[in-house]
Amino acid sequence: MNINRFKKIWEHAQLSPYAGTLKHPSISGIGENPLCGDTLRIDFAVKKGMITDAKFTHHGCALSAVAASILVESLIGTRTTAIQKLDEYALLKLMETPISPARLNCVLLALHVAKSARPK
Amino acid sequence: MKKINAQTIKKDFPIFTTYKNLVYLDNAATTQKPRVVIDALTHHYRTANANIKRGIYDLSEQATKAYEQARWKVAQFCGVSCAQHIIFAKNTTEAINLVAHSFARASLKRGDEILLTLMEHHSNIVPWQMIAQEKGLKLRFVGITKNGELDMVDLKKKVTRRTKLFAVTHASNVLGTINPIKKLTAFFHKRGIPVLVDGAQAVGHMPVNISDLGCDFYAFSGHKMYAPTGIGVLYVSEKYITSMEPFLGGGDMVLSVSETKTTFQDAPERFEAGTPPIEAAVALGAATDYLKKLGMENIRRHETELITYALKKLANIPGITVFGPKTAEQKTGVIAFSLNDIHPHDLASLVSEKNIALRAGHHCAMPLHRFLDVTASARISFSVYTTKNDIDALHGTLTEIITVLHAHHEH
Repeated sequence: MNINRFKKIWEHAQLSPYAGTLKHPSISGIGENPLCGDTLRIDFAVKKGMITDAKFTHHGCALSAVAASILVESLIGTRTTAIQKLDEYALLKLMETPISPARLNCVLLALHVAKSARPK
Repeated sequence: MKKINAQTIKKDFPIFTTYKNLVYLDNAATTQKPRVVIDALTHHYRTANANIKRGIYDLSEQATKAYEQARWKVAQFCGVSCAQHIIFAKNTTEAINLVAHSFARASLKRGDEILLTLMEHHSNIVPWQMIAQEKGLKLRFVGITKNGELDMVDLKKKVTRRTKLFAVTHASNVLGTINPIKKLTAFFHKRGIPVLVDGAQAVGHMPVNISDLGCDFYAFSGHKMYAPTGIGVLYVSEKYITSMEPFLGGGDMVLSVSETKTTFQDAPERFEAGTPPIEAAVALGAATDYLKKLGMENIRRHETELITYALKKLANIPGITVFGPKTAEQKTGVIAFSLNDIHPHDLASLVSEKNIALRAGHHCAMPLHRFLDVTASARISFSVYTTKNDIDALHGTLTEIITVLHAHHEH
């Protein structure tokens, strides 16, 4: 990956406004990529079927953090049904940068975690 | 003693003609192949290709001879006087699985213990776990010191009357640590415990004389020592080779088969069911010729110089943590490290942009990474064609990455 493109990703990962946890999430998902050790949690606040807020906590590479940040941002203001409708292609399109096959799992962790979100 | 000129040696490896700017620092995963090995493969296909052992015609006899000559070359190369003690397997992993199946599964009893170490590759953990679960065996793990060496105090504590096997790596694929196999073998043999050595990261990088080490099982892979994938080696000592049960069943490993009963061949055929990778074995023989010509002492000295150089260079990188022993004498050409705020996977993607191939992840050693308290590390590893220029290229790229990424903090 090109260093300048990566720098944007890296900075985004460090400065994401969606980093953190919600005090009283309506639904949460937790997951990991066992092969690389990345862990991710996503909290959603839901009111009347609408996602009103979302946060993620993450331990791992910048790419998986940014994927979580972008995914969360795209979901705020949509109905919860949008989570299940999201697919790999939609997320990769949101990433706006080509992802090599070896890094695909880094990006897709966010998708799997979001889809696994359940009431706590 | 001859000094290795890695720049000249690079010319023996066609991959560096195809990719002129390739900085290949992932030799612990697999090495590149020299022309003599590639030629041995094609030469075999052009001049001696037939199935081995049972063909009663010239070409088959020629193929059998080439295959058995490769076995003899491998035995010679690693200090084994009798080629019958060399069993060809697919790789180190299969060789260890063979011992787990043919020795441990057949001989060990409920409650028996197998002693491993925290620095093992998964291939020297998982086969034992599978057998342990099936047979009710117990696995114990020897810890390691802060410096990345085996903790000998802990080792002595973990040996019990029930210990029936000690399985240890010759050289760690993450820390590079070279374990004192001869000393360890003497220690365990005094207690009547056989020793298995995973030599995947040692053979091809330093002189290895299995008879001198005295261990009972020694496993290694061809592809990590300049030979093709698909061929590996298991040495078994006289004490165990005659009593071990067969591994896979099929053609070539039998004496006679009826509808109800089969009698088996002796070693090595006993453990080599089906058509083996004949041409890969022949090419492995060619790889041992190549290494002998360069001289294993010379290769070890070359890699030692590179380790010293690399450790010194890497120490200058801000925010770096280097894992494992810090002197070249204690380790093979494998250096794992991490950077403060750049994840190893991101780092591997970034250096790849500059044609630098390094490894990032847990390197199939998750228990070790848990001990190191990191989920992943970046790893560079050397071989005969690695130059100081390669290390400079890595150093330059790491420095550039850190400079670019941290530039914004200064504004």
